[in-house]
Amino acid sequence: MVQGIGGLTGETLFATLGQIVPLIIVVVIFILALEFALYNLLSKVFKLQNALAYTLLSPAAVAILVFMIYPLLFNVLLAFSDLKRDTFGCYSPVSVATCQLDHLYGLDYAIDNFTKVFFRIRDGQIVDWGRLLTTAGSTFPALLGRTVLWTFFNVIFHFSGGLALALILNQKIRLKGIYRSLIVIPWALPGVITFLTWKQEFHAQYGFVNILLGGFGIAPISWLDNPIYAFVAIVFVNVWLGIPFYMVMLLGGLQSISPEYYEAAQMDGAGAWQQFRFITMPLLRPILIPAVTLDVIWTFNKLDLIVVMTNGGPQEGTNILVSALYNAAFGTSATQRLGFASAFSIIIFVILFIFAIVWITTSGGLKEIYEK
Amino acid sequence: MKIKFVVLMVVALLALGSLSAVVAQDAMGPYTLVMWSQDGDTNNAVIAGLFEQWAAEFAPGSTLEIVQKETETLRNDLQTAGLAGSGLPDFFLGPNDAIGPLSDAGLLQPLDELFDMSMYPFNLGAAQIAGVTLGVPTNAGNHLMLMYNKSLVETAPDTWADLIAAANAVEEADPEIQGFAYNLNEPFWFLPFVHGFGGSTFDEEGNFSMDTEAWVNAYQFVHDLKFVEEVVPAECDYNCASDAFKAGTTAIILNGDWAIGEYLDTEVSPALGPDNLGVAPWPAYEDGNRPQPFTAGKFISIPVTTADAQLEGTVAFVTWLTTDAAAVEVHALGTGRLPAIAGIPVEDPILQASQAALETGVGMPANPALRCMWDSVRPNLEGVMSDALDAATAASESQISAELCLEG
Repeated sequence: MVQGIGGLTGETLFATLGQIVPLIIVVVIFILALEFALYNLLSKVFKLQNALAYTLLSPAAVAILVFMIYPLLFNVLLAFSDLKRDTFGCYSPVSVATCQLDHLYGLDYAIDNFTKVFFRIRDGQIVDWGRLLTTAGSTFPALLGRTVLWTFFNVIFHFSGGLALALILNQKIRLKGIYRSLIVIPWALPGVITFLTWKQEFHAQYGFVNILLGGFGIAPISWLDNPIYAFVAIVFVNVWLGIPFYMVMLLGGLQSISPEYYEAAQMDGAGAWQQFRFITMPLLRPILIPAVTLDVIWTFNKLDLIVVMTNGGPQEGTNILVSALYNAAFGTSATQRLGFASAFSIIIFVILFIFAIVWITTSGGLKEIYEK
Repeated sequence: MKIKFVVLMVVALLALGSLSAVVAQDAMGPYTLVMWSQDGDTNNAVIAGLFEQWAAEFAPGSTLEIVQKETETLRNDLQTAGLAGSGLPDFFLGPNDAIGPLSDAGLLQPLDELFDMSMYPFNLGAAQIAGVTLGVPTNAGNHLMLMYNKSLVETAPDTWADLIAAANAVEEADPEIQGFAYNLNEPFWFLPFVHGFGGSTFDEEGNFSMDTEAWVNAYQFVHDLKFVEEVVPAECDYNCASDAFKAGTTAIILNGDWAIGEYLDTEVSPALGPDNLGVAPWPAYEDGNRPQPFTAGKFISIPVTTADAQLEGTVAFVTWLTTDAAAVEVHALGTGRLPAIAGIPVEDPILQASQAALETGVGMPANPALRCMWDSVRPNLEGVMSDALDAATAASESQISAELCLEG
């Protein structure tokens, strides 16, 4: 009997559900039993006052430990290794390849991995910028520059587009609810589906974008064949995708601003621009700062869109740091430089961490929260 | 009488004994096997059907789960599972270029002691590293060839000049139909052009040899097909060429033997089928030389974790699948591919044409360094095909990045 050949048939679906549903039930019962036992332990044995709170927090704490802390620590450990395809034999418990390494983890590997992110070393000497992928343009400064550019354009357009839409939808207009629902659609759709759809829409011959441009007498553009056009295409799609997030956030903020401020300003003779500048923007600030922070981090780390639409090509010209990292570790290259990729990921983490600290501190966006 | 009785009894006992021995030999399993396959669903369905037949005959109750994976996913998943130490399939089917990296990683079993290698006379070298066999061929080929729709182009173009003329004629007759298309930016489709100009990936000493006149000529030739002759679409990947060919909106393509099966099936390819599908070797350059596709085949390899009953079941099934004449006819010929064992007559004219194309090819080594070539060619080919990079720079950059890749 053959159980399946990869495709999702009804039979496969039911068989899978048949396996998963009982497993979920068992897991839920197991967790409830554990929670109950933990509560009894904390309240009756240790006689803790907040036993219920600790009990309810424990699943989340365990999940964070298992799915975030452990992978993070493991990633750091990998940065101290020389794990790549050629050394699989040393790290794999089942490999039969001969291990040429005299140790598996060490500071020397970490120094080598971190150095290679920036420089190309030959005979112990730095000879050039290191290539993170295969082309001469895949150096760290080039990728960082492109990532900053990518993040800048996206965040600017997300913010301005989202704010414009929020301001429009904050007015008294008919069918507001329908517009709001339509605008949120890009955010609600599964990413992979929208990316694949957009990829087709940017096709030189059959894509909607060129057909539309053709209507204005513009010759077809090979969007995904040219690094600059491809970059424009992915920025466009990510802007389209990110605007609803800002719109929802800012619309909520706008609706919470009391109309009395505007009425008072109007009585004082303030114009629309002055009202926007001195009332709307300052009062949106507590919402805007966390939104921009999150958007910068999400955009900086936006991997799925790039992998699906261009996979970093053509000529590796649409790679940003994270997609270059993904390709270095798991891409078409068979080298699987996991030690190097781990060091690379730590550097990206540090960059974002520093940005978040500096941005949040200097903007004072979370000041009110801290002061409370 | 007594003696006769004793002799009869002895004969009867011997007969029973040998019968039980036969039963013991034939009835195996049951086995629960998992196979990862890089083949398409149509071809996997054929293997699934053959497994049912094999299980009914030799190992009743056995099951085979086939998991389809794309080329790169297959290799990556095997490496990841190998690193984790669990989750590897019992065996997997894929092209030979995965064998090099996986052999380096120490994840493949040597197969010389498990199979009778004399059964596979044609392409075993493509799965051997340092004399050790790491894959058993399910078919010979995996080669690219010219395919055309006979309802749009009557005869196969013999030269590139013929092809360009034929493609232009098709487009003039019906502007909705693309004359010629292929997977423009995929290095596997580019290497035949290099070989046709007398180039190769490695020199005689095994070093990369990509910054040569042949490579420059090949980059220039594919560039000119797009920007000078304008005979290929502005953008085209595998699906663009293959799907349009199946639908009858592209007349001529370059594709591999793995696709013949679905092109012969009129339910999948309504514009093709046996009446309309034409197959031929690549067209010749002006000097009479033809681009030479890489040839190898598809191979079944066994990870190091497959042992005991799993290994027994895998070896038994794979041996049958790849050496039983009837099974090979169904699996190889039935899916439009050429057999990897001797004694299977190839009578179908399309497969005979595929065989003629195969004979123009170059054997693809299982050298792990080949991956560095593929990786270095891709971005440079993309540059040439977007007119952003000249042929000489592309060849020189390919050489540099392949060498850097080897440095690690």
